[in-house]
Amino acid sequence: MKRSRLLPAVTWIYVVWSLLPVLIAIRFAFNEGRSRTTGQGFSLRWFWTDPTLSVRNDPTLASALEHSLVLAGLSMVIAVPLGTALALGLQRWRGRGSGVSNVLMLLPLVTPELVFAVGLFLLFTSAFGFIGLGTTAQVIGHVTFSLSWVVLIVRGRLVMIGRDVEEAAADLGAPPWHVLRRVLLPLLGPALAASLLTVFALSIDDFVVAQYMASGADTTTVPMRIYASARAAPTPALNALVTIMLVLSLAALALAWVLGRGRPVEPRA
Amino acid sequence: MNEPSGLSRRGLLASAGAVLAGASLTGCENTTTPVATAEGTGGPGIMGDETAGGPVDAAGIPLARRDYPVTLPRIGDPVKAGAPEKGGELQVYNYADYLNPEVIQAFGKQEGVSVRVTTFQSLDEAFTKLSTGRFQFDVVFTAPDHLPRLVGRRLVQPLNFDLIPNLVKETWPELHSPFYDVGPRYSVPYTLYTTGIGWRNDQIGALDPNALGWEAFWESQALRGKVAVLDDAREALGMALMRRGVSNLNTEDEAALKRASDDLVELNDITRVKVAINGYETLPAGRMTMNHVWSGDMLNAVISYLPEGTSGDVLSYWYQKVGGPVFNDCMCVGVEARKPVMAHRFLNFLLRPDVALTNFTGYVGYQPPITKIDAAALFEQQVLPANLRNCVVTREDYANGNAYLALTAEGRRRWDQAWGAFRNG
Amino acid sequence: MRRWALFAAPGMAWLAAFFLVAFYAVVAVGFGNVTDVYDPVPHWNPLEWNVGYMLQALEDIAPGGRTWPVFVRTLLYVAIAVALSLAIGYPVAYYVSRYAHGRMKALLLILLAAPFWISYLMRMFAWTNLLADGGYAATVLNALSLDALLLDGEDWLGGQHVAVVMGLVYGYVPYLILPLYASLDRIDERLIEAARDLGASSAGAFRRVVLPLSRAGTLGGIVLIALPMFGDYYTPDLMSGSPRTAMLGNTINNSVQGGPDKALGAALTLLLSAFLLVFMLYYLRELRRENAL
Repeated sequence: MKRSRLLPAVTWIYVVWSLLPVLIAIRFAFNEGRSRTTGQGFSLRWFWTDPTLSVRNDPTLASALEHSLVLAGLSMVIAVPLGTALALGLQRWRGRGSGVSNVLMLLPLVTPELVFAVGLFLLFTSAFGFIGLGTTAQVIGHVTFSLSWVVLIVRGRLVMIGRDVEEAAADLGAPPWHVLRRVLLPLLGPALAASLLTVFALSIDDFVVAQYMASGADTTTVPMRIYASARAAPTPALNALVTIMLVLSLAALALAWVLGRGRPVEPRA
Repeated sequence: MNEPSGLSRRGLLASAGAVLAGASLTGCENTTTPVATAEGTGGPGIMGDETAGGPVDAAGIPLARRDYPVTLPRIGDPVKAGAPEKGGELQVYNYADYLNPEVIQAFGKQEGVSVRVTTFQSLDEAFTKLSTGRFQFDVVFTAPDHLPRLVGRRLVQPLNFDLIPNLVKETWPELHSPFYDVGPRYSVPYTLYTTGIGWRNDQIGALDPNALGWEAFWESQALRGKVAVLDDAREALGMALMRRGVSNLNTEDEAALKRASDDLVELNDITRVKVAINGYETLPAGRMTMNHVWSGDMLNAVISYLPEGTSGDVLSYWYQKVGGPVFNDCMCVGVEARKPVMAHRFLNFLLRPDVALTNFTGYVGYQPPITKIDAAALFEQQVLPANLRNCVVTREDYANGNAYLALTAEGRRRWDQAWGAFRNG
Repeated sequence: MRRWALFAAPGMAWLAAFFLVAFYAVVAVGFGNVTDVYDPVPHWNPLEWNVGYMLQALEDIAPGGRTWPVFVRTLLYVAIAVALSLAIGYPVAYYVSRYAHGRMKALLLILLAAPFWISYLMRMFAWTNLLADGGYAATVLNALSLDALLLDGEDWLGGQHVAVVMGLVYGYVPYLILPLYASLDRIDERLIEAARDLGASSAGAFRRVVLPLSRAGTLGGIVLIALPMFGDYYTPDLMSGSPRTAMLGNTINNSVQGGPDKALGAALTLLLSAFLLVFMLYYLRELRRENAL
């Protein structure tokens, strides 16, 4: 059959095409020379040893990395609890307004990021001027577009868990607060881990909202740094920066995977 | 400009200052007329008399020209001389890469204060963010054509020149009371520049910007994809105006601006032109071959951005000797400065000859208007590459030069529309 | 139960404040005015709306207006990029869902999902390394004479339409493949076998069974990648940087972040949202169906 030869070929070519450029970019991070287009030996110069240009010693690179991580951390800490509560509420609440709320919760997912970023920018430079631009605005932006994802993930899990366990606990006389804390939240563990991971990934990846909410050099993130430098004449230190970023993302992924596997309770899954 | 001499008007202006300040603040918003553009063309003029004051900007402040000096209205009083504020951070608002970190450190050490620099990409962005009123910068870097808007919106404060003795002691006499800020009241000069063309000798081939001048951009088919004009409405359109021989860089003539915009659009086809302000990085790296640049960028390219193994000789610079843009940037103190005295000391520090020199040759590449710094000698001593000798601004250049200056509200709208027609594709 | 509404309250308040009000800020600025120094003055009260900027934006984007060429270019870029993404993505998704099994399938799925873990800007940056003069990709492509075929000149990053469209395809195709895969994977193998048993050729079975059944996933995937492409400005900036290849996102970005035309930029943002409304509603419906909300 002809297709069976052609299709795997297309698939593998695609996979190589989609990943090879990034691997090559990582390779250049270890260049000894300054070129980002040809391999020139191996060194850690751009990560560590170059006295002015390495990620360690160039304050603009190091601070971008730090700021990206700070934003991701704050976004996770705010978006996951907020989204989990929202998911619980929306899943169980069937009253007036719940339909509208469901739609509102999904809107950030379907709105182009630029439209959302322009809106927040105009808001923070006018009516919400007391918040203004800067780190706070960036975190608010990231939480807002992450929230819907957390809700979707947690609700998916809630549907899977069903209400049996909860009702059983209530029948045995557990007060509602206990049911929530001792029964529901532990069952939600994998979903919470997945949510944390997703928010981390969304925040780290985001460029548009971070750029619109930024107020200056100290609010520059890694993607913003890439945008600014890639158009000028970056050194392989920028490659080194993206390499570190990628390693951190993969580490987060691995961590979540390990934690997710370690979960003892897997009802009905 | 065929206005009556500035002198008599200066007295009038000073007395009108208070009125103007009031007018500018109440008259800032005009939302009554449902039109697509800002109202306020011409504004109230001096005390309501258009003919008495010449054209005014959106805030009602007269438009300064080289032959028409303007005293900016006084808003508030300068800070009293005294001991500098202790502790905390001095907040500085500036372009990126426009201040030598060593200089910042030295000031911090001398005064026992930590200096925090926040950066902006363009003066428009800086104005937008400053006018949200959330930033309390002590020192604000800007340019003379933006000064009136900063004053009109009460975003900077009058200076106490007793705290900045270096202005008179060390800077060029023509800048002691510049035409854009007679007195001066709000600003001290920072650096000088001309606007011109920078290129790579090793890549440009037969094209000769020295012979062609601005026309070189329209002759650069062979360099397609490697040519950029400045990402700056005034500079890029002004360049296209000069190409057509227009000498008034502050013209508000719609037809001339339309033609300038069309000429720039033509560059898309001729050379797939890019729009960028980072020639100081892309030219030395060889990613671009010919850029519309500021003179300081070329020196900055050699000082900070030459890759190993590339010599500064590969770079050249041309500027229009007569009637081309030659001007200076300036520094102010923010209206809500927490450390106004310290801010004055910072301004004075940057005008100290040794500090200014370190800042110039050690980092930014833009030359300060300091009398004791003999830029020509720096080329003799090979502190700077001889082939970029013409990146120095002489006092003669400054006297003959042209400048982009504040426009009327309507004029500004026309420039921005013409720019948008090119910039937005 | 009331109690559950209380759980939802903080999140809903957050979304109302930072999503709904934010969107309304675009409306208020787009239908607002500017000060004499071009600061936008939002008109929050609909009774005070000023239609001037909206009319200006409409005039600009209509045929013959100054934004019209950008609009047409954006439509073309997105249409071509989506078509190319489908041409690449569909066979890949089809193969992985139908023919890959066991460990191979798991490996392929991980590789297909990998780009999600690499920042978009990082992936674009990787291409700027490859397409720069002397870069690996530029060297290979030029050796194959593809520059002569596809480019005006030979500089891949010097304001070329092809480079921008390629950047868009590269950037967004992973987001198309996963929903496509999901919908193809759901198709019951027995349906195809039944079609073959009834005499359909392999191609016929594909056309009569697989294509119709994967239609929803395909449309969903297209919408999923077309929406962000319409708001993209960083891909043209990184892959070209010339006004020659500017997209609508660049126009909006330049107006809102750069220049003094914020009100006009807001009006244009509203027009773009209105234009994309059909896509957004379709996507919303799909999301509700998928998640049974």
